[in-house]
Amino acid sequence: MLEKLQELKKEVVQKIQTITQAKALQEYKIEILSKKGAFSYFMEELKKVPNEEKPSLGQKINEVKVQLTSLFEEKENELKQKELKEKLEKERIDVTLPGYQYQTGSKHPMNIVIDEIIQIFLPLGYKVEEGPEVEQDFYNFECLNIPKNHPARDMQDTFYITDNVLLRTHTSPVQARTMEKNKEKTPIKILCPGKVYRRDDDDATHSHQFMQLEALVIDKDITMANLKATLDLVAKKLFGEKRQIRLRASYFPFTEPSVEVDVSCTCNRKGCPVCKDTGWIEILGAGMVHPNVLKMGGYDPSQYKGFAIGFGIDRITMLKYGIDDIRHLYNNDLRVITQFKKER
Amino acid sequence: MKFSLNLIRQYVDLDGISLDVFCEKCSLAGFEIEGVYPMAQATNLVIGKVLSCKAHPNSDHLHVCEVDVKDTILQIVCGAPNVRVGIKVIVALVGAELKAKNITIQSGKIRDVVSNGMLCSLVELGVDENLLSEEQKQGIEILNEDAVVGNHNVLAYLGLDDVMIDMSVTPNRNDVLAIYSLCKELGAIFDRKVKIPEIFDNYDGDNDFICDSITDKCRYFSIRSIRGVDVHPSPLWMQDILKKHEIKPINNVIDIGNYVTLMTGQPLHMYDADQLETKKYLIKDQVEEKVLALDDKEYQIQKNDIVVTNGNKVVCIAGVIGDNSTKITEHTKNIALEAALFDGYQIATSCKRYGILTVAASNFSKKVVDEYSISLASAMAANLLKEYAGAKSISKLNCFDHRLAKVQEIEITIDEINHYLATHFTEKEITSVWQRLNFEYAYHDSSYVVKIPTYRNDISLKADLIEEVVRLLGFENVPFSYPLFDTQEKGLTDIQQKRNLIKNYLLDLGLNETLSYTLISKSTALYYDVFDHDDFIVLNHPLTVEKEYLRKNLMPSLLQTIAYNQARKIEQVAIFEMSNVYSQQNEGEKLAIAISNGLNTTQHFNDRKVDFYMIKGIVEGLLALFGIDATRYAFENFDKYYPKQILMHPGKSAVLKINGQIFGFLGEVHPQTLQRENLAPTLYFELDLKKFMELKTNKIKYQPISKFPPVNRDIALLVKADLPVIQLIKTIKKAGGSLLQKVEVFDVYQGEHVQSEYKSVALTMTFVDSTKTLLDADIQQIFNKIYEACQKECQAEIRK
Repeated sequence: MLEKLQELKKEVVQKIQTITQAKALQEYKIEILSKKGAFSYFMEELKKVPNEEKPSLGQKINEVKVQLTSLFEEKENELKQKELKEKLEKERIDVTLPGYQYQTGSKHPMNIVIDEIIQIFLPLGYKVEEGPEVEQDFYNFECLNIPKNHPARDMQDTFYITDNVLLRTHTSPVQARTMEKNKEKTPIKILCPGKVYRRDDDDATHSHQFMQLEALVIDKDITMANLKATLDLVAKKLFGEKRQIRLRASYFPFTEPSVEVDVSCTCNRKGCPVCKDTGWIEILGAGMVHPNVLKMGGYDPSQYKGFAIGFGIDRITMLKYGIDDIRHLYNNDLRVITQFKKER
Repeated sequence: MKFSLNLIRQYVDLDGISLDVFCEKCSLAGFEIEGVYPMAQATNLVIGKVLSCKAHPNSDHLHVCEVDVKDTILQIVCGAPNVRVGIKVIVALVGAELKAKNITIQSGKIRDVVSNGMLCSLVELGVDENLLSEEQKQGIEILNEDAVVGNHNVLAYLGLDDVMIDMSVTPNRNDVLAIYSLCKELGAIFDRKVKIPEIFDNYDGDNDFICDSITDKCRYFSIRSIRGVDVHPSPLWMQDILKKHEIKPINNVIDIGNYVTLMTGQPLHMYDADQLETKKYLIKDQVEEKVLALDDKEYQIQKNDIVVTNGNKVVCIAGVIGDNSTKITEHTKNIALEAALFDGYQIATSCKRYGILTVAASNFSKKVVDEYSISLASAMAANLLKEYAGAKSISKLNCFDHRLAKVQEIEITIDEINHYLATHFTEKEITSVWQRLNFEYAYHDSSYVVKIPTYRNDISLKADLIEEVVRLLGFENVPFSYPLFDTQEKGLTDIQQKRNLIKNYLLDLGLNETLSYTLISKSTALYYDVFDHDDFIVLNHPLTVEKEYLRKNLMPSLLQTIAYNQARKIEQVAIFEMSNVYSQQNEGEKLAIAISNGLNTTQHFNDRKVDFYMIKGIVEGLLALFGIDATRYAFENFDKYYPKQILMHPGKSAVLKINGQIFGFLGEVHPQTLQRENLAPTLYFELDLKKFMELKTNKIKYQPISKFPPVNRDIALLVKADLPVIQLIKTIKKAGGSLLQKVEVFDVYQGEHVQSEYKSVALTMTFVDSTKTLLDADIQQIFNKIYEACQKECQAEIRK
């Protein structure tokens, strides 16, 4: 019987090796190990042997049964692994297909620039003030030293709504309103960003609607050197640490002296189309607040001085990113806007 | 303004200053140079004489010429119709570059005949064709007999070695639009000597004209009688200067008037004295009549327009244009010369109505006129009339003079200047500025009293003088120093921070920010005008009908932005904008979101649904971000509030109510509007941002979480198809009490096995108790209560 037992073991070991399907293995396992399987013969035989031989024989049968059981389990595992592997292989995908989209949107490039400027000034204690775009002639012109029949009114051809109401031509009326609002006549440090409007036909360099951001400081000991240092800081933060600024005399009715501010061109004064070979690029206008404007705002010009900086956001945006047509800033062409995703 | 550099050089010494330096320094001093235009651009020219001129053997229009250029005789083939023997010509030698035509002259053969050079027209030298006669444009330039053969300095000989400078002038410095003033300014900028010829009033007779004014818009009027002129062409040098400055030469008398205006800024007017009715001039501004002017056009004079009258006639629209009957003609012998000062603002206003802007009118309205040099301009013209028009006698000036005596004096100390600028300018430096500017000054104890010349009407305050100092001494002398002020950070206001919060939320979702125009067309404005009864703000003089109305909402802008992109094959457009909106009643701020063809969907993976619930979900996310919980807001059918409209799909849109008030609307855009704008299906949401920002947000009150496990129960209810699910949810929540933590819809079904007019709504309810583990019996009790409430309030039945 022991020989038969060995024979069975041998047979099973060989047979298991040939099985490749889990189902066949399961059937074979039942055929061998179930109650009515191949081992039942030995169990019947065991009943027939004398009692004193039973323990040792039983142990031997059981040993083989345990061996075969573990052999089956091993094989089962092997086949499971193999099947899983095949299944996973069938599930293979093309990893080069695009993913589900979780793209963030893009801020409008002009708002990127406005926020950048605000971030330069906020830590210095400036506040952001806003004012109406439909404005009174009084705040837009009179308070800013531009009385009726002043030739500078021609500089800013205006969209009028009535004789005394207009679309603001600059963000400067917010200056006037802030000064007026400040009843205690304490120092002022503000930024005024926003939309402004002029009667211009739209083309590559003109837009009837555009964006300005104005910085205004009024305090007791303000000098032109303070303006110059502030301009230098802004130019370096906006365009790069290596940039320099240059001031040119200019004219704005609400500042005196008034300057145009140029920033040095990246061509390093070697000449290029951006700076038209001059080495300098005009970026903004600025000046010391005109005594008449201080007076209109209720500040005594013999006590208080101030400076104002007017950023043309459209121009700075175009320069900073190399945009060649101002209409790209208003068409909202997503081919343009989505290029600014990384700027928040 | 455009001016001739050679003309300037006659009065101010600019020797040794290169054109580049000239431009840069002018720009730094406040006069930006916008362009530099050489009169002609050509190298390697010489004056030659045509010795022989034969027909070209192989051409019916070319000529073969022998041209003497002093050093040699050149054979040159010439195609000009006016070439002939004996004329003196401009020869471009081999190697000459004619920049205007982009030609470099090479020796070669033209139709088998050798040609060593080219005979030139002025056009080929690059001279502006507007300055040339037809004859000059058609053929080569035929030089005067006095031209010296072999002279290589041809451009100088022709007066074409000049450069026209285009300079931008800020409106405070219109004084420099007069050439003499410009010269003084350039003298100051470059610290060079200026020689403006002194003008003497050389009158030799009495004046029988008298003048008066009955309007305060004429503060000065002078008349001078000039007798015995001969009208003929003016000297070439004068014609040349006028042409360069875009003034057409007419005859000596008129040219002299224009020349004096160019140089001094003072407009002059000349009358044919023999055509005047009387000897008395009277200035008025209350006349209403039509005037036939010297340009043969009729102008309607209205009250307030200033006119010069003589007898019963308007003889000149003051400061604008003279009348036709008294104009200078070739027969004019005797002249009445007017030099006056009229109100610039009135002239500008009248000219806008006339639709004409003459040099005179422009000079008055821009205040180019130096009101204390008017008589000198009159004298200068008189002297020139004597010299170039043979005037026999010049009378004394008679004038009406109501000018305010005004010589400005400004007191300023060295400290005041240096304090303003934070500079260390010395007395010597500051004094040099007054000297360069020709400002008279007195100096005592670090303090100046500066007299301002009358032509500098831009200077009236200390700050103006400080500007002159820093402008001429250079802004580079101003140091850099940060202001010493309180730099405590104030940060953004609550509203500004909230705007950023919204912006970041929407950007993170994948929406792009747009910025569109405030002004829209009337038709668009009216089409989208369904949300309120506010009145539009309308421009009184729009540039185009496309930009006439101020938008009251952002819907047209966003939809048109989508159309713009989709027309360019950008199909998926997801955008938002925060902008101000306007009506007569209020200036508000709105947030608008529009999504067309999906948000972050690709063509390959396109199973993300783009429907009402997408935009609603975005809105709900926004409300949660602002701490506005569901108990405070509701979505109700849009058409209940706006029944007759075609902007939004009546069945797939809603209004957003917060605290019972409408704050905005959302949903699918109406197909008719999609068609109007040529759009793919689009979702839209608009929020009254101004009102929204004012909402109080819920404070965070921490709720401890239960230690005991939550239990879920599902329920499927059959209800009428038109019952809003929110009612069911509200009923369940109310009945469920505090143990019901959450109710969520997981299926809404209509179709097979459900009676028509009914729908099955399946919900999951989550129960939890913070004090114990809920037992089945506990839950069954609540469940029964919930079901009863649903039966009673929503006529719901459990679906079997």
